[in-house]
Amino acid sequence: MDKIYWISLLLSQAGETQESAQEPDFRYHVWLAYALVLVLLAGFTMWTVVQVRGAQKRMEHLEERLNRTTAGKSKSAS
Amino acid sequence: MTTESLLSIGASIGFVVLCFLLHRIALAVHLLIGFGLVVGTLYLVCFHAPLEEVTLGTSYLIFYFHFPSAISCLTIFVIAGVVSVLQLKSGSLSHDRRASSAVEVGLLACTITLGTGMIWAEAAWGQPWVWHDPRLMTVAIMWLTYVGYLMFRAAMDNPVKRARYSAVLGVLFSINVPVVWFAIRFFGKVSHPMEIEFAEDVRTIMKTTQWFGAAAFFILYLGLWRLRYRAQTIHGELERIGETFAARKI
Repeated sequence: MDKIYWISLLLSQAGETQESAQEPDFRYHVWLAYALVLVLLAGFTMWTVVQVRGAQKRMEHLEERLNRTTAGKSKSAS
Repeated sequence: MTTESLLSIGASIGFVVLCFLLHRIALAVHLLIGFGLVVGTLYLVCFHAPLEEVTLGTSYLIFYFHFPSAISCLTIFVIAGVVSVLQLKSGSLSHDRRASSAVEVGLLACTITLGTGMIWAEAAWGQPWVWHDPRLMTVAIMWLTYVGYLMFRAAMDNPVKRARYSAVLGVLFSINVPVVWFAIRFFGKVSHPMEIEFAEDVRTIMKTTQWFGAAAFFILYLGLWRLRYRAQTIHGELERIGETFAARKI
């Protein structure tokens, strides 16, 4: 017996074959679940990467400011 | 001992070694490997695993993304509990960051588990949620407790106190993990099955896809854990610089 792979079933038109017409159609649920997972994973990754980059920039700016202030204070003291 | 069990033990040991080795490679590469493996899982589901499950129709395919997130979420919460114990012993702030970033990633995995589970439940049972199902309710409680953990952390200003109290919560909440795992054995099966039974002729191929998916998602979640840890370390540095500014009255 030939094996049936789900991709052909998912991509086929609803009610196209007699078999798929007899069984309930859950393709919408499968696509929705897979899309939800991929969107959440990619979204979480992008959000964290943007957060890290922003925080790194802010840290560099603050360190530069701190160094400038320290240098200014030691200049005025001497 | 059967060949199948020996292979499973060998694969598990190999996987643990692989996870330790992954921590030595660059984070970007780790994340790329993780996402690549998740796409690989999708490929296996599309072109490798045959569609033989007739009871639930195509809706059972959600299992290949639902199970990996569920098993990863439980493992990551156990890791968060262990790191919290280490934090309580050492008082280290880096352990605190490790534990909280593990909780963040575990919560993401838990959200994915609940989301895909609800979509699958809608297809299989005709309703997204069953209030008296012990597995569903224990997972929902776990999700809520860890949301509370993160809210508690956000409300605390003192880093040392925040680390200590969070570690106590981290240990306490991880007790729920075995309760979730054994919920069906403790309280009985209502709707959620203990495990999916595959037909004998396709069992090996489906189990391979299932465990490949679990490994793929876990590797990706480990990468995300490292990413969150990096984010938290930078935020810790920002807090420290802020304190220096305040102390010098700049």
